[in-house]
Amino acid sequence: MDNHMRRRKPLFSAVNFKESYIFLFLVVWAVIVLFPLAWAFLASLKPREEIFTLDLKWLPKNPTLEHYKAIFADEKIMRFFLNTIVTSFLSTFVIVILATCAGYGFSRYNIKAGRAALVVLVACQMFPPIMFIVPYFVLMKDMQLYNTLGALVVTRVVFYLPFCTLMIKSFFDSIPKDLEEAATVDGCSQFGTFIRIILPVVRTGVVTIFIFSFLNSWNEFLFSVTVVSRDSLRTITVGLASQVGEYGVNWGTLMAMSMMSLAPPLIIFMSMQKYFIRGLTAGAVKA
Amino acid sequence: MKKRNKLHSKTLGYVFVIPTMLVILIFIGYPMLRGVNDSFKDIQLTSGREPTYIGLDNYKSLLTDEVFYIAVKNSFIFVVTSVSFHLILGFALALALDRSVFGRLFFRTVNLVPWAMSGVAVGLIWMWLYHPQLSPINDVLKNLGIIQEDLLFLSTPKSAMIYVLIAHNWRTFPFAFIVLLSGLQMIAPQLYEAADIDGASGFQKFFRITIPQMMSIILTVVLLDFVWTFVYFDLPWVMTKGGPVNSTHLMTTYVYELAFRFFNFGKASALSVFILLINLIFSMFYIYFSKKAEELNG
Repeated sequence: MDNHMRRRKPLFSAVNFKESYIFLFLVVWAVIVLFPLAWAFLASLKPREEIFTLDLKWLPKNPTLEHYKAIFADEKIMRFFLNTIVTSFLSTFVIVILATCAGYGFSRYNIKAGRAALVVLVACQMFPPIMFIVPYFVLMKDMQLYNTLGALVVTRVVFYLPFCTLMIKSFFDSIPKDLEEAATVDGCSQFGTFIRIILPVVRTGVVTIFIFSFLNSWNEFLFSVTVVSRDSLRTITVGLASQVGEYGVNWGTLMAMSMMSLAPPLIIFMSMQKYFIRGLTAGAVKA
Repeated sequence: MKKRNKLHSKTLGYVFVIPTMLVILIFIGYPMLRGVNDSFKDIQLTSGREPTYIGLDNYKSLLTDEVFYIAVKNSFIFVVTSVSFHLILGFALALALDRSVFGRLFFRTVNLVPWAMSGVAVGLIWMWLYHPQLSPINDVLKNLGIIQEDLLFLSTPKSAMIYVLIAHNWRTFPFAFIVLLSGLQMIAPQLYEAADIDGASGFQKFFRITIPQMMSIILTVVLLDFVWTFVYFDLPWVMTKGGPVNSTHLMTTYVYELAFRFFNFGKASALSVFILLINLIFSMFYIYFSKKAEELNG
């Protein structure tokens, strides 16, 4: 009995009282975060007649995959996904190469006007993307890029490159210079040093900018809707947005489409969040 | 000495840096100048007129435009509300998770989820939650007896902005949270230990140690959040397109409408330049204050 009392006592002390309030706060907020997702996901599993009934039911009575099947059977929507996959990978590939090289250059070489160039990169964060839609609309037509996948790739590369360059530069800055000096003494060429010695050390940084560019490219909307008007070149965000306001929206299919568009970035983000958090905070804190 | 020179030979440095800088020069520098230039021109695609310089007429036309004032007001409400909310909630979550809590990893992950999602998809999910007849929110609130009449959500000018803000903040709070959390984890534990020995209260520790130590991070979060929120477009546009009756127009959504619904490229450019100026002014303030903060700390 005595023993029992002693073990239970902390539960009623001030500290634990406070702890339980903190825990309650975390739980309530987690419910607020997860509820909209759950509601949308459940809708994607409900047959049409269960969605459009005024007698709201939380769980689907007869869960169905009909909405997902309809999407896979719809060539137009599959095309949206294909376009998104292709542009996201292409843009990310170009960004990672350009940013890694430039970040290394800025970090290690004494470049004329290097400081000024870095200031330009930081200033790029202040420019509102919306101010580029009119110039790009015209520019892409002049360059014969309007209504091409190229236009989608170019706009993504341009707007994520400055931040990625700054981010990876901060990773290079954190490696001691002795590393290259030792390699050079051992007779490694400058470029060989970069590829064989330095790159493996900053792989965390490379992964970080990869995730950053991929997520942003996948989710991009403003330029995707501006530089492309043809149905067959739309990305998934534009495809989703175009359904809104159409008469008789099929919410089940729309929610299924949303869920499918969210899955790839969420999976990548969740499996690599450790990298991303480290890189992002490094970039944000130093910027 | 010779080896040092070889390592830092400049040519290779330029080879590394020039492609990126060229891309930025051509695709950011040039279009930006062009946009500023366009803001002084009469460019109306549908009119068939040749573009001509008209001085400040586009800006004057903005100043006499009722929607412009709605958009400016809404943009400021949007930014101030969002940034304050992000900061307060982010700090609360960061403090709650900067300690050993049961299910810490789970809560941290949950509070990052919305940030990986596109504004478009989040906008649609919330439109589904706000559905005029089929909203579960109305259902729950009615059953709890909190409301008698259905909430009208996005369909009335009175409340539409509030519901856009809720959806937007649901998606964007994680950034402040995660940056503040990593800031808290960088504070040396010795500071708190010393305060404990001196018998400081939790309150004192928060205001004398946590806040001053976090000042530069808080400033950074506020700057980035302000700049990003101010230029944000996707979710508000998808949810309302500025409606009903222009009540939810932000400066960004109004630029888009001017450009691609009214095809008034000149006026759209003028409004863009206006957004840019506000962003630059805010950044100046930021630089000024962060210098001040550095002097104080240092």
